[in-house]
Amino acid sequence: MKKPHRPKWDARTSVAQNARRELPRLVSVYFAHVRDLLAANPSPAELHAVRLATKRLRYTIELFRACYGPGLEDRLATLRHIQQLLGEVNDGACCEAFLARTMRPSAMRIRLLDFLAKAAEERAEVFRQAWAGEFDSAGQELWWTQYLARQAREPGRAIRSSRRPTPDRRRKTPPPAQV
Amino acid sequence: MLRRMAFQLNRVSRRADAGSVHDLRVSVRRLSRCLRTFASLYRGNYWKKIRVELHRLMEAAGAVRDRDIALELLAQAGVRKSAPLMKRIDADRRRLVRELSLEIHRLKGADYSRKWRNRLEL
Repeated sequence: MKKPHRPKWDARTSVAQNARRELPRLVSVYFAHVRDLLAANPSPAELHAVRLATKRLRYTIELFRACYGPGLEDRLATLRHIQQLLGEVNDGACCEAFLARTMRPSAMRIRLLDFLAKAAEERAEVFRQAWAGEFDSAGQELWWTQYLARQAREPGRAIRSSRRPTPDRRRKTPPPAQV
Repeated sequence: MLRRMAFQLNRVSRRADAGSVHDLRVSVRRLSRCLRTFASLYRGNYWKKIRVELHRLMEAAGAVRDRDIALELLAQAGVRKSAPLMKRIDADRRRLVRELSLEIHRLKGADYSRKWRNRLEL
């Protein structure tokens, strides 16, 4: 299993150059790492490792927001969604462990642990589907890495406001008629 | 990032509800990640000491957060607020909030913000 990639910053080159060099690698290592973890069919509690890796990646990339344009926000939104799903899995798994530790044996304990285990498993399944069907579907890794490698600008020079609509996002309603 | 964390620390000091504790954890984690990410650019190893401090804070806030999640999920499972289990977790939470407040007080007393800025040469 690959270890999480530690970026190596070169203080002699610019922020954007560092971002272009290191962030795509960081994302590729993340994809490979999560694929490895998921191949072992982890339990909801074991998905915690995926959650941590996702969180680390998101927070690291967000440090470079100033170097990128709105395309980064689209990508971060997909990462946030994955993180949200993993958070729900983790909440159930943690609560189950917490109650297993702190509650005395009783019928209620059995019922609650069963409820939480089922909920965590259901949410884990939602995550797995989102991962395979959306986040890691064909071309997605490239969508990330090519963007990060090509679109970094020096902070202050990133295109922020003038978002050009892509064909599928173009306004469908006609422009207002001129008076 | 340091300013944001300071804001969240003050917020939790005033009112340690589930939202503010969660936001504090997020701000601490972001700062910690920033320190780790740019570790090679700081002089010396002081960033590691800061991460240790942040870890202590996260532990204290995490214990409160665990209770918040438990209370929320148990409510979803149909357990009433008045049930002994809920009361016990809530009392436990109050105790842990006091411990978190002490941790925050300790950090503030050490003038962490100024000290960390100086040591990181920010």
